[in-house]
Amino acid sequence: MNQDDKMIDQLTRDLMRSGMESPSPDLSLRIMQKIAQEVPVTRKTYLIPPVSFPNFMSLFKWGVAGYVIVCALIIVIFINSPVSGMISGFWVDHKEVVLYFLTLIGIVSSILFYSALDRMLFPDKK
Amino acid sequence: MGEERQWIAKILAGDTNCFSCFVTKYQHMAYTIAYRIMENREEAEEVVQDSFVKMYRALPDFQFGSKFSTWFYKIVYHTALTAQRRQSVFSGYEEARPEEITEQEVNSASGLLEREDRKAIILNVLKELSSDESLLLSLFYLEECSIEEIHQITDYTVSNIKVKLFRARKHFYEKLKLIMKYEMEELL
Repeated sequence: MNQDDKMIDQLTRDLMRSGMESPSPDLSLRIMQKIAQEVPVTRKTYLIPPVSFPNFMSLFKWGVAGYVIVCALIIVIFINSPVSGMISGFWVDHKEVVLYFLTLIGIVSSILFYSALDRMLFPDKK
Repeated sequence: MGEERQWIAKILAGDTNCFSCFVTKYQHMAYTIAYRIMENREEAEEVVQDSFVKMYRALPDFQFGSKFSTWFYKIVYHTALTAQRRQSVFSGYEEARPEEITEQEVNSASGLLEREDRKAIILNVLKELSSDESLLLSLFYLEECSIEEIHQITDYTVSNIKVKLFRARKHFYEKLKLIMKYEMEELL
C-alpha cells in the first residue's frame, strides 16, 4: 500500500469516526432486561456411557487381529526359510516388507481404535 | 480474546450479570451495523437487542473457531437483514431516503470546522451511500475488520468485498466533495 493510500485510509477512518451514530443511553439497560428474562445458559455436557470390559476390548479387536496376522505371517516365513543363516538372512531379505506391514497395521488400527472410541464416547455427535 | 473467554465462563457458571461486559464492549458497533442496514434508529436498536439475545442463547455453542467480534457481528448482520426483509414486505415500495441531498439539508450545517456539523455532514454523506457500502466502510474503517473477517460476517466473496469497498470509498468522497462544494459556496 503506498503513502497516498495510507493517507486516504487514515482520513476515511477519521471521517467515519466523526460520523458515528450513538445508540440511546438506555439501550444497554433494555438489553440486560431482556437477558434477565431468558433461561440461564449453562455449559453443555456429554453423557459418557459406562465402559464395560467387553465393550473396551472390542476397540482393540481389529488392531489385535492385525498384529496376530502379521506375526503369523512372519512365523510362517521364518519356518519356511532355509536353516543356515536363517535369522539374519530372513531379516535382511524381508526387513523393509515387515516394517512396511507393521507401520500400515499400526496406522489402520489407530484409525479404527479412535473412530470406535469417538463413537462410544459421543454417540449423539454428528 | 482472553477476556471474552473469562466472561463466557462466568456466564455459563451462572453469573448472568457478567453479560453486561459484552453489551458495553459491543453495543456501539452492533448499533452502527444495524443502523447502516435499517436506516432507522428505533429499528436498529430493536435489531441490536434481538442480536444480543441470540448471542446469549448461542454462547454455549461458541468454540472460538473465529474472533468473537466476527461471530457476533455476523449475528447482528443477519438479524438486521431479516428485519429489513420483513420491513420491506410490509412497507411497500416507499423509499427510505431521498435520492439527492437537498440544498436545505446542506444549508442547515453552518461551519465545517465545528464537530457537530462535521458529524451531520458525514451522516448525510453516509445516508447517500447504499446500505452495503456504508456497512462495509463501517466494518473496515471503524471496527478495522480485515477483508477475511468481513467475508465471514457478510458472506460476500473476498473479491466482491474489495470491489465494493473501493467503490464505497469513491462514492463517499464524491458525495463529500459535493457537500463541501455547497458549503464553500455558502461561506464565500
